[in-house]
Amino acid sequence: MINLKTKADENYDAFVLLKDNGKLNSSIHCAYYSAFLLSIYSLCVKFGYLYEDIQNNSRGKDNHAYIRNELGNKIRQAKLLDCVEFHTCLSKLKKERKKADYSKNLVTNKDVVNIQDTIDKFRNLIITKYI
Amino acid sequence: MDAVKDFIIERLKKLSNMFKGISIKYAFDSITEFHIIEISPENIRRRDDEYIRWESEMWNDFFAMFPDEDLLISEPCESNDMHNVLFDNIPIVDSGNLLYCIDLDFGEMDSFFNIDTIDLLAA
Repeated sequence: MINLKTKADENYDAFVLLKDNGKLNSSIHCAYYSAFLLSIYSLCVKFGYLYEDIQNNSRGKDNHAYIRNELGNKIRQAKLLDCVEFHTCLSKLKKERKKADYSKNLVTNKDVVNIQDTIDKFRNLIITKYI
Repeated sequence: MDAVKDFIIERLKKLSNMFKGISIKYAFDSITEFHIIEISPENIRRRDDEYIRWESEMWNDFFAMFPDEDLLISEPCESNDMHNVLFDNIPIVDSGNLLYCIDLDFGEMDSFFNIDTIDLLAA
């Protein structure tokens, strides 16, 4: 299971590397996937989910929505403020990823500064309280 | 899509009535297909327990009812495309005092906007 944390960290590092080297459009994708992988890791190590069960239960569905809903519900039971921060951060990252990957608009420095702030807030929440 | 917008606007109207002085703007970003709700000020958004309960229920109910839709509830942010505004709540403040609050529902296309509530407070 530690592999998921390694992958989450690697995507975070890739986000920072790409951003620092001016590859802003590609960097956003890594920030989002860092958060997504960390969410799966949290479900497994903090809330006892089996990775195989997550795969089976989300088969044929939007597995990103499944992970978001499952972890969001677990955090909601723990602390409402954490739940709203979790959803806000993850949705910000997803929205910017869609913009970076699918729209014709270029990602700006301001966008990346916001994403850095968001992914740091997200990782701090999950790593300090939910893994 | 109309059912989603109606659901959100109904919730926002209730929120507007819960907090005097809250600022709410809702828009649909057609590029990312996100329903975006911007809320301020921060002392309500992240420090008021009643608001936090509202937001938590909003996330939960929205994703349960509309699993294929995307939602963002955040502070006002330059990264959000808020051009296609569907609901706007404007607190009118004079010399630091809240005078009244106007809810604008842009979902009604036969008129440019509807003033649903005007809450006159003692100045």
